[in-house]
Amino acid sequence: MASPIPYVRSLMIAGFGGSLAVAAGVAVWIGWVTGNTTLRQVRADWVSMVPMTATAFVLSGAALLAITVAMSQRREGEPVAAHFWRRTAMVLALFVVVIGVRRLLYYWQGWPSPIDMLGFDPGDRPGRMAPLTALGFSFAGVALGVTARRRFYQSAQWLAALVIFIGWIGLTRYAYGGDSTGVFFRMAMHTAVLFAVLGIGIFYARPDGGFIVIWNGDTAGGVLVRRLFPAALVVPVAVGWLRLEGQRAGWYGTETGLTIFAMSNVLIFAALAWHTGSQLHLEDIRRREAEQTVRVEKDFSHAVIDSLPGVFYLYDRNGKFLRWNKNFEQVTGYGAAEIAAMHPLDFFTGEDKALIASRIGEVFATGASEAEADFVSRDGTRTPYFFTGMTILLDGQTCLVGVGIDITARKRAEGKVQELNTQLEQRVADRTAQLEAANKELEAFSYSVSHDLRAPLRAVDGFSQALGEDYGGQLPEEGRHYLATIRSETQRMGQLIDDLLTFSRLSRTSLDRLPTDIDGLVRSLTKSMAAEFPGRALDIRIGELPPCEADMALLKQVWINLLSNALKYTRRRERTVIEIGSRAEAGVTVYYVKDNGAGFDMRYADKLFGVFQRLHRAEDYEGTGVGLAIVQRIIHRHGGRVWAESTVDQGATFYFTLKPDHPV
Amino acid sequence: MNDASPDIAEILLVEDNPHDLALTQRALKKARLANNLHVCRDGEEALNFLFGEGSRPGQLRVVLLDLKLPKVDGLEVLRRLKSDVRTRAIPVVMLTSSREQRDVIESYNLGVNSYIVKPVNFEGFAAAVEHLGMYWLLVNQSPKQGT
Repeated sequence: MASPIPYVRSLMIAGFGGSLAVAAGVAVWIGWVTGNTTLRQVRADWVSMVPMTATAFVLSGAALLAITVAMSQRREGEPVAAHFWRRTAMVLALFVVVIGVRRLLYYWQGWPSPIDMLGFDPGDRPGRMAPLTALGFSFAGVALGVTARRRFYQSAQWLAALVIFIGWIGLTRYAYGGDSTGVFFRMAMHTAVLFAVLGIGIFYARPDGGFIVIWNGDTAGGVLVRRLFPAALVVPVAVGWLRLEGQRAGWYGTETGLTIFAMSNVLIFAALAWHTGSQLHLEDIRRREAEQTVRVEKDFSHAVIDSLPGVFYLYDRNGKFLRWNKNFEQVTGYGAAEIAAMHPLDFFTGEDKALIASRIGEVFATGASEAEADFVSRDGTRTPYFFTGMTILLDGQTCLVGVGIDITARKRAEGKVQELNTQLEQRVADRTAQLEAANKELEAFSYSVSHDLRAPLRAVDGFSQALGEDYGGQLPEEGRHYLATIRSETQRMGQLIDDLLTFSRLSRTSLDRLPTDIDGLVRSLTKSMAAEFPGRALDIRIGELPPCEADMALLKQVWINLLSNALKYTRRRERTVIEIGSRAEAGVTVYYVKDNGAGFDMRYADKLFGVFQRLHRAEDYEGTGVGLAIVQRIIHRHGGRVWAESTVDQGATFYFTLKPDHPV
Repeated sequence: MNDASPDIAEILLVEDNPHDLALTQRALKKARLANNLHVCRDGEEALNFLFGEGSRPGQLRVVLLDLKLPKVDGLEVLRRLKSDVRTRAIPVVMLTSSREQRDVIESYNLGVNSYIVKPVNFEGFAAAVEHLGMYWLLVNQSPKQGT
């Protein structure tokens, strides 16, 4: 099929030929009306075109124009208009045929046909349409009548070739100068030219078929036709003319002239054939090489497609499979002929069908998409697949090309991961339940400790007291001292139990971090604690204490323990100095409590925060050894650190932070 | 206030531990408050005394209630006391060893009037008993008692 531009250009050439025929016919008519011999016969010594011939050319030209219009309307999808113009062309062509055939019948059977001059007086000249002209119009008329019909256009082109040939005969006669023997070939100069124009126009009126396709084609045939046709038309005529002129000049006789004529033709055509042949030969080799390349490329792509680990598919907008690989047949279990008749959606069922349909639509709309779906084979086996799709333009048609990969293993792994996750969650839940149960047990334990362990102590203390009150008089001094010891130790044990309970509760209670006003807390604590020691000289200096996020109740316990320690270990000083403050270290606030009390030996600093660990004798400074352990646990639960610096008899400083040094 | 003299006031002490009972009685005796004391040894007995045949719970001026009791525990006794119109107005004081926060909260939710943790130290214990006896019997103004 010819590409669009040559098609339109061909119709334009045909239309131009038709217009030229109409214009020339009208011009000759004007010549006859005005008596202008140039328009009628070109040169005074040449024959004139009779009015009937001019009329026939106007009709033929008009028919050619109508065909051109019909062809372009058909191309633009206007079948009604095309039909009308084709009919018009046929009617006009019929008139041309009638004109030609009537004149031929006159020459052949002697039927009278007196209308050639249409009332014009030719004077001294014979005034009839020449027989060759009549033949030309008969052929041209038939050709014009049928060329618009698909079934007949090739016959029309043969006739058109004859029309051109007839015109060529006329022209050649003018070139060589006619003698009396060739009266059959006599025709007007412009008649000959117009026949050639008309014939060529008929060819160009069918740019979609026949000779013009070859003529315009880039095939070897096209090259051959374009090279040899003009040569075949022109060379023999030109060589013949040269030979005639040479003979007329007396350079050689008839035989020699004919020899020169024949040999020149032989030479020129042999050279032309050689040249064209070698060119076509090279062209052909190139073509074969290109074909070979294409074949290699094709083999390669076939190999690639067949060696793909997944399935490959290529189908058009209607879902017709154009290409697939062996894997596709193996996986689906269908044969090539079956697949060719199937639709892509035939390989899916249920929800997947709708999913794939929408994804195919997406591919054609956006250019690419992908999907996960179960690929269903002939025996109903469902295999999870991952499909890709993208558009590809093949031969002007948008198609979908893609591959599908078996994702069974991946799906299985995903399932496994999910299963493991579920198991893990179950384990965590089990472990949490166990921990919660253990915690509950511990809570119940400490609950009964707090309740049941204290009851006997209370009895011991209470009855010792009662003993002392009711029978103290009967006891010696030493006995009363023993009783006092029993009571003080009992109370100490009560204190130990309380401290231990507090300590163990610290791990269980939840941490409520809220913005806490440390400054206010410390000021109220120091005030109430100092009030307990009215006789002591206390110098409590409070520096800057920025607020922080902490559990208020627990933090209060920390300050109480640290401050009461500071007060306890400074009680032998004449003047107690306690400094409370803070400093920033690497973005973390470090709070401290510094006293001028007894201090401790730094060698035992690691024992300072242990439960029941004491660095002083109970006679010197009373205590259960739990206070600093409580402090440490609270600080650790806040994510902070606590540490101390001291020199014996030089006082001690306790530092703590309430969040990690390097916040995560 | 006609019948509000300390002599006719009644104290109900619910206590299972005999030593704590003896010490509490001793402390009340010392404060000269033991004359109108009635003792129950478990929760069930207390409920019988309060709601049983011929009971006159309206006479009670204060109930001293231990938390951990055999059969019916102190919280249940408290709940029954505070949900009955006849006994709702009687002040109840929890006298217990438990410092557990949830016990304190639960008791107050049920409408306890006071919550005292028994100290190990007997002087502290005796002082606490004396103070609360005095307070509820002498200082506190109760609603007018029925006849």
